[in-house]
Amino acid sequence: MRERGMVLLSALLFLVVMLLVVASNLVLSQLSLKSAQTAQQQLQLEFRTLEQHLKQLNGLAPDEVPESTLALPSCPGIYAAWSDATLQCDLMLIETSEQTRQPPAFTRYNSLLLRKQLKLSEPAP
Amino acid sequence: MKALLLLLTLFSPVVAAWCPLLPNHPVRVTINHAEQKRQADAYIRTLAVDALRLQLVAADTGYDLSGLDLSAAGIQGSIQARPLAEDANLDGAADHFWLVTSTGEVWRVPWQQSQFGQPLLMADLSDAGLHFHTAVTLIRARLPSQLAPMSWQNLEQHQLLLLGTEPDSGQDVLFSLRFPVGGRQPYVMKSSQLVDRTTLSDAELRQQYSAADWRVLLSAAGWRLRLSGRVSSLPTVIAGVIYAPAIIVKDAKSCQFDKTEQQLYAVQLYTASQIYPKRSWAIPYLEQAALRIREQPDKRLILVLADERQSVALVDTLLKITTDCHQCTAPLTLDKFPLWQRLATYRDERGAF
Repeated sequence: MRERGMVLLSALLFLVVMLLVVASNLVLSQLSLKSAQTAQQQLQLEFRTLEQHLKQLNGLAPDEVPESTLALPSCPGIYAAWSDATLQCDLMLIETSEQTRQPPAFTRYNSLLLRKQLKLSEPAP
Repeated sequence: MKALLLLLTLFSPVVAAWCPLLPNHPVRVTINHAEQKRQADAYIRTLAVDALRLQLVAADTGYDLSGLDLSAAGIQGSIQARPLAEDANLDGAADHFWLVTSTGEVWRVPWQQSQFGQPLLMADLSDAGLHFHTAVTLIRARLPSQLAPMSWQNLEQHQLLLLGTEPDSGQDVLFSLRFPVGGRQPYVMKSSQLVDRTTLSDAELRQQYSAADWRVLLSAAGWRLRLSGRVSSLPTVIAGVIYAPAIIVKDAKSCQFDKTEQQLYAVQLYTASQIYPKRSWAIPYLEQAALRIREQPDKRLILVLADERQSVALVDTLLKITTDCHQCTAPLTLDKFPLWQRLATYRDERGAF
């Protein structure tokens, strides 16, 4: 009778240990999956933001003036230079940002652009 | 009294040679003043004989913002040329002013923390013996590495264009002085260090000069070009080409000019070489006219000389210099503008978690 009790107890203990091992494995695998997904989603978010940013740069209208625009008194770095304000240079900062709540992630891309445009004050005769 | 007469006698050729043809308006600049950007007018105020002041006046209110007594700062003599502004750090506001005295001294005056700093002498052209009356423009230009001389440590240069008048003949000399951007000038530039480009060689006239010749020209501190008369409208630089109309002087002492026609000079910005089939040609004269660009229906840009009532077309197809080679040009058209240049794209992690 006592031997049977020992066997039963051992079996129960074994089962508990096995249950703990399996449960911890499950938790660990879930955590690793989560972390792997988070990294993947972060990469996807970054890729999506960069894609949107480049699309925004390519689709800039000639007369568009973003908020952070700096009008330069003279155009720098030009070989065929101009003397007066006919050639106007603007330094622009274009920003694109994206964020997700679950998992929490945030990405922002900035571009510095130089716009050169001719400003002809008089209309054609 | 005798001293006064002597002074008048001494200065009479200079006064006679100074027949003002070009307007000398104050220069409108953006400056940092009291930690904010403001529009201001910069000009030279005459307080008394030999007492000049570089003055900054608020463009909206007309109040004095700041001033610099030039004689106290070490700048002697008279100044007829307007001051020119420089934005060295490209923050959209002027941080240096360039002054040119009548004898040809070129000074660079810093503007920092809402006050003028100590002027620095950049060039002394007094050995040319001219009367400097106009500072045309200050251009910040950059040469591509394949066109620049090997000796250039900085490809970005300031080109200062000046006009000086010969007292005897009354003819103008156009000067182009080169200064490296950001770097300190190691010496005070003299007129003798400039290449005289008044006469071109036969090879150059046929546009057959080599890239090596071009680099030799660029190795000099700048160039000077004697014009056939007095410049009648403020020269302008369009896409690397300087345009300057010059009227023939009949009598320099009595300020008499031949007002039937004048010569239009069109020269390359860096070497004063020719861009069009001729370096200068005859154009009509218009009183108090200015050089302007006009757009044509086919997007071509033309150069006109215009006053309030009329205008005369001067160049039908404007050319621009290109970086393909040292003497390459291409037609200048409007359809290429605006030009976008992406300087940098970067991932910003401010506020990220």
